[in-house]
Amino acid sequence: MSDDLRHEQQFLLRSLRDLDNERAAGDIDDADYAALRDGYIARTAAITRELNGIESVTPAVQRGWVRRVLVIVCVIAVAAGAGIWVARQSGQRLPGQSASGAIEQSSSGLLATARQLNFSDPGKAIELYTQVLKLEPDNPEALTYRSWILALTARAATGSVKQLALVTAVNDLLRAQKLDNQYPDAHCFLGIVYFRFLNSASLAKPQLDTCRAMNPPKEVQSFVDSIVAEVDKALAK
Amino acid sequence: MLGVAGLAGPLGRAALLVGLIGAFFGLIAAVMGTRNEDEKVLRLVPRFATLSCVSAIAAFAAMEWAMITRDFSLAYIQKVGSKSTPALYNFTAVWSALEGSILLWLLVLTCLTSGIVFKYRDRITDPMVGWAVATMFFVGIFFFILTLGPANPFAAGAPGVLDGPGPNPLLQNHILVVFHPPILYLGYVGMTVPFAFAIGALITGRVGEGWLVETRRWALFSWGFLTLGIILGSWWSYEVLGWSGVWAWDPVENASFIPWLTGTAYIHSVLVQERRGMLRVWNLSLLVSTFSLTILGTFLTRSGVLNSVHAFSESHIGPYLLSFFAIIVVVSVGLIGWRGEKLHSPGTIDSPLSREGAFLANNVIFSVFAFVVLLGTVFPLIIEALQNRQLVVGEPFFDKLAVPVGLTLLFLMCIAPVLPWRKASGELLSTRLFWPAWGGIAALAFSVGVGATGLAPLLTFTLGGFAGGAALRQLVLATRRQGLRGLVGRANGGMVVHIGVILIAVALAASNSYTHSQELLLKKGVVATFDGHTFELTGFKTESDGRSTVVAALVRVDGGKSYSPAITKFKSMGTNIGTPSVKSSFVKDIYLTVEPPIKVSSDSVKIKVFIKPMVMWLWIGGGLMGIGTLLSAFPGRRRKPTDATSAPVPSEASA
Repeated sequence: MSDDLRHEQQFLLRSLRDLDNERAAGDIDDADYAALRDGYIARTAAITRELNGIESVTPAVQRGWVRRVLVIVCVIAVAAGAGIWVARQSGQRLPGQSASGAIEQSSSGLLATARQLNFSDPGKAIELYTQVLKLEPDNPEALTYRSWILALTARAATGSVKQLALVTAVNDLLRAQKLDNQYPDAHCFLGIVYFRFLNSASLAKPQLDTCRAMNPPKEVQSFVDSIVAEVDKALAK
Repeated sequence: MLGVAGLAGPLGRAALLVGLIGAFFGLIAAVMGTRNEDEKVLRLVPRFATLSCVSAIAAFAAMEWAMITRDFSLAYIQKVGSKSTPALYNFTAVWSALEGSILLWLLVLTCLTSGIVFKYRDRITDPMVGWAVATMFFVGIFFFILTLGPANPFAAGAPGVLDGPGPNPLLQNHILVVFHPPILYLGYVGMTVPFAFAIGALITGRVGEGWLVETRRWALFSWGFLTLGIILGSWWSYEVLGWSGVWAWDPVENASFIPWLTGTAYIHSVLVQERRGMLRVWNLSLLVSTFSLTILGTFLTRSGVLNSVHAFSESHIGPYLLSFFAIIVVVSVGLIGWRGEKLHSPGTIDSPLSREGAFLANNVIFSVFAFVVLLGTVFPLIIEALQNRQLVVGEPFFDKLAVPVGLTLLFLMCIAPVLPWRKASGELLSTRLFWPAWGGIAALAFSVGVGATGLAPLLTFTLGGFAGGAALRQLVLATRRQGLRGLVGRANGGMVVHIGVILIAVALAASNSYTHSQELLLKKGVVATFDGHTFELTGFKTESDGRSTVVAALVRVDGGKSYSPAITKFKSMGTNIGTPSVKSSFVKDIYLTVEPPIKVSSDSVKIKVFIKPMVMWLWIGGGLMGIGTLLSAFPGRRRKPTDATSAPVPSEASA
């Protein structure tokens, strides 16, 4: 305890010296200087008296506790307020999205994310392809893959819903071909849709042939190869 | 038979093991020697530090060698190596994924530990130094364990692999990948040094101001590297990602920003402790927070708990990092509690209108900002863990937060540099703030004159002019007294840093508020116009090698030079990466990206144009912050820390 008091006493004496320097440098005006100096001297005197055993200085314990409680209450209030604010500002996270912030996605970024979700989460993939089409209505890749996933998911549906989905898919695939006639995937998928979902080998055949001639991506190629034989067989009948 | 390339794995593993042994015995020697005051044992510490450092260098060299020789016997090389990756990106591929980046961290950490031991070799018997070195060894052991266990870069891979995909395409698209990660790591890892000395001070009970003096420059350099690392990361984002932004509040960006905020609070509040003996617990808490937040940041970045452009794939190091984080926090808080009595500060704030009052306000703002950014970053993770719901805390939340905080900090930067310690009178303030205030008014008049609108940007420009005036006032006074040496020293270097911060704030406000963008369909021979600029497609350029095919559209801007936004297709991954092309000037950037598909046979291309004002000032501001940090670290001739803020500097003869 006396070490602490001695330390504080030295600190106050040093502060008095600093105060003189600060006044000399013009940092403190005379009135403030006098008030601060009186305060330091009073505190130094009290500590010196206690060190000499003359009287006991009672630190402002009460005030200290009040201050601590106030600080704790403020910290809790800030934390709770921040928590509520953050919770209110949060929203549903889409696949591929960061937990916080967002690098503004370009259509190529959205396409890359959507591609990863083609099979694992077709619903979200369609959502992302639709976002791309909002940014870029004539994007053949988004049109092609959204149609393809739509056709795949339509298989489970019945009646007019299925019909509508397939018509939309075919129309979009045709539009994708129109936009980019050199894009093989649109031909491949349209061929498959014609044959598998609309039972038309004759419509499928030219699409699949065009697809194969354009050297499509490996994963699409293997899929198409397996169907072409069946189409040929159906046409031969 | 093992080829030369096949040796890298065993050599690397052996080096890491030797390094771990070195760090372990270093820790034992530092602890036992300090506890028993045994100088003989303590004299062994430098040897163990050297051993672990040399081992880490050897392990890193082995990794680089494996990468250069494409040693596909290692799983890590199978993951990020490729025969077609160019030499430069092959070199940087070492830190392009989890295991290699932890190895880089270890390399920096062991070199720093060795540096500390070397610097304090004559004072190694000082218990505070002994405990600080022990702390550094302890941290080193943790990272050695990571590299030998869940993040082992030398783990054997599947047999028969002859080639790999190469690093993430985004990490082989720009030269900044060479500098950004190592510099950021120097900042992260550098924070270990002041943290270690804080622990040393707590254990020995020497919690006065001595340990602060020991670590002042280390803290400053670490902060400087962290700042530069963040700025370079923003630059990389701007130049590579093609969205024309520099900061997106991505979790990994936040992970570097949060310790920067607490570190910035620390380098300000440490001045209050040195000068007025206050904020002892606060400063220790800030240091502990800064260091532990770097570990938490590493957890967020490396554990695969979140999706981000930076985040590496799923890994097993998450529990290790979280446990280490918990140990650091518990031990540090325990030590602070244990030394509670000794941490009582003798000084008090005499007036809120004083330099210490301004620093305290700055600390409160930085800390609350850090807390809310942290909360926003981890909130979705907490909810996902508790409720299995996937949430996002989007960019608008952070932007809403950043604007008032930034403006308040700018306001403090106007006032604080002219405030004296203890108490400021109204008369003194009005005298000292006269010219800076005119700077603010001039900035406002100029902004309105050139057509700036909007409350937040105009406030930013006004406060920027005001704060710039306050910083320049200090520099002018200092250089009048000392010539060019007036630019050196903590206070004056700090003002150079302030000017850098102001430039960044102004550039961010301008570029975020006044960016115009438009998609343009360009046809050969037809000039398109947007925002007073002309764009003309002159052709296409294709470059192809074993790794990728680059197709660039050649766009002539304003009838002058052609710029070439491109799309690069990485063959092994089938990934398309857009590369923007930027026409930069001091006034504005014209940022071009090309929208896929891009066909060389076509006579048209769709591009997106962003006109972004003042972006270059972001990088100039970042550079000034780096220069200012350097100037702050080399005090030269200056006032004693306990002198009055306006006290004359001692002359050459008396110095």
